[in-house]
Amino acid sequence: MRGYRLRWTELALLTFGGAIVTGGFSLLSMAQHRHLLQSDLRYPGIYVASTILLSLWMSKFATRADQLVFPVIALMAGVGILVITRLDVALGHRQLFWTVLGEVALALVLVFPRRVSTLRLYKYSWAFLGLLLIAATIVAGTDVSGSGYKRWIGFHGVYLQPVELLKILMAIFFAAYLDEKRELLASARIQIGPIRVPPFQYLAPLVVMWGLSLLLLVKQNDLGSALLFLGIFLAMIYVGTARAIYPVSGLLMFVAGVFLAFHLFSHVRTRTELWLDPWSRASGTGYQVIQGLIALGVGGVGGQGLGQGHPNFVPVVTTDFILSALGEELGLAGVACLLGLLIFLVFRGLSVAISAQDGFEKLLAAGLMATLAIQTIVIVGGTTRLMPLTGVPLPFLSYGGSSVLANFVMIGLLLKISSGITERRD
Amino acid sequence: MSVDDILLLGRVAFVVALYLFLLALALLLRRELRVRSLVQGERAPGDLLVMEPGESGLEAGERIPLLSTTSVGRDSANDIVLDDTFISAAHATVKWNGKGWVLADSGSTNGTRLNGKDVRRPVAMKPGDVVEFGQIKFKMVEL
Repeated sequence: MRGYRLRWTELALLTFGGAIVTGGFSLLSMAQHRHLLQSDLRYPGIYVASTILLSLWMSKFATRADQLVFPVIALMAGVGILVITRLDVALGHRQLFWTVLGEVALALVLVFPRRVSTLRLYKYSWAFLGLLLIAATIVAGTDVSGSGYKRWIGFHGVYLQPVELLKILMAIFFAAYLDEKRELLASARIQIGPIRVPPFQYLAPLVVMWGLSLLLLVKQNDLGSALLFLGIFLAMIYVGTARAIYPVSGLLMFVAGVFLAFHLFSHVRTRTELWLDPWSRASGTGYQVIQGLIALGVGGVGGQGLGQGHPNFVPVVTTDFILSALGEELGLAGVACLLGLLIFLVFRGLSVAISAQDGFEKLLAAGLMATLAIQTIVIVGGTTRLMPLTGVPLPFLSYGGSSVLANFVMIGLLLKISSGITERRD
Repeated sequence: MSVDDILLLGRVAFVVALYLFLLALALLLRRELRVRSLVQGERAPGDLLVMEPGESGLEAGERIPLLSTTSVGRDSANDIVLDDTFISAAHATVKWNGKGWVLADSGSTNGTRLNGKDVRRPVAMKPGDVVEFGQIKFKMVEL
């Protein structure tokens, strides 16, 4: 490893982003107290300092990692902390704590596995560890949100959602397995009449792992995560084999499954009806969706201004419905820009995947970015009533300790992959 | 200035600043693309658009990608091979220096022209210019 080299582009962007977030906190303070309370600037101060420190850490341990990725997620995390603080001060401070912890996790990921590709050696262990955690949650978990399902594992007042960790572990497993069997999956063909059927039997381990996680998620009524896992699964198979038949047949099966579920399970039917017509249940089950839509509508194009709207009317506004709060206070203009940052991040990550030399790293980077993209589509689509609502956090913006930690670890892996590329290029 | 004025101003400034951040990212990407294309043999941010194909077998309207250094000629070792009686084995080169384009004739028999003027020594070229190698005519276009 070479010595110390400052990452100027990253530092400049972090300073810019830090100034935006600090400005936001000052505005919030002015809107709430009619003058600037200096104590309100302590938290953005901690946030800015932590991002700069992480950049300095990277200038020692990941000198060649991509310089645009971290500032983008730091700005999103900062805006997330800002909006959550505005909704609930105590929660905002906890989100800051989680973000700093996430940055520490990112810093450790950059150093700890010497090469990302060594992760592939333990692929079955990772997958089983993830599944075991979920199973343990079903048995001995805690129901923090009062939804009637145990989705958290807690120790001494700190609760984590293992499903967030499972996301990463499954991406690692899929990437390792697909990289190993890629040739086989892409080339071998069985001819049945005029149709060339791909060798589905080689997919068995993948389908089993995915099926198990699906089963556990359905058991927890976590439809959002189930949908997310299907998306990751299909996206990674497609990236690995470049054969459209896999995602197409997967989606067809999904449509058939949804049709079945609609007729078999009452809560799936309720959700679909809720999506098609929330207005007739405005004071009951449709309340949440409708309040979310009203908040977006009130925000309009320009938004009400930080601290000047009433987003607290929306239930679970800090997690699933953070988009409504963003829409009400920052307007379409602000939301579009934040989604633009997410899109930028995903495309940057995909370009890292394209330039990665190692097949496993390529697939992993693509899988992680697919995770972020699908998660965003699922929740943004759900809040805006583009599709039935299934709750998953909006990456980097929603409140949630496990989600923040998982996202920072994912970015850590991506940065590590990107630093490997440039090392080899020299 | 009253508090409300500051709040209104700040509200606009906050969103504008977010967009400026996106703009900064876009500009950095652009710079990165340009620097990267300086590496030998990499794609440069421009194309040659075929206007009059001569006997080369190209189609009018076809776009031919340019590299950081693109050689043009009849010989098959060139980056752009033009099989036409009026083209010399090594006819000309087009270079991208990270900021602009340079067109140079490689001592061809029938000459290279930029916007109708003979190219004797390397000249700067910009998108929109018309380049002629012998009887084959291209338009330089930006990517």
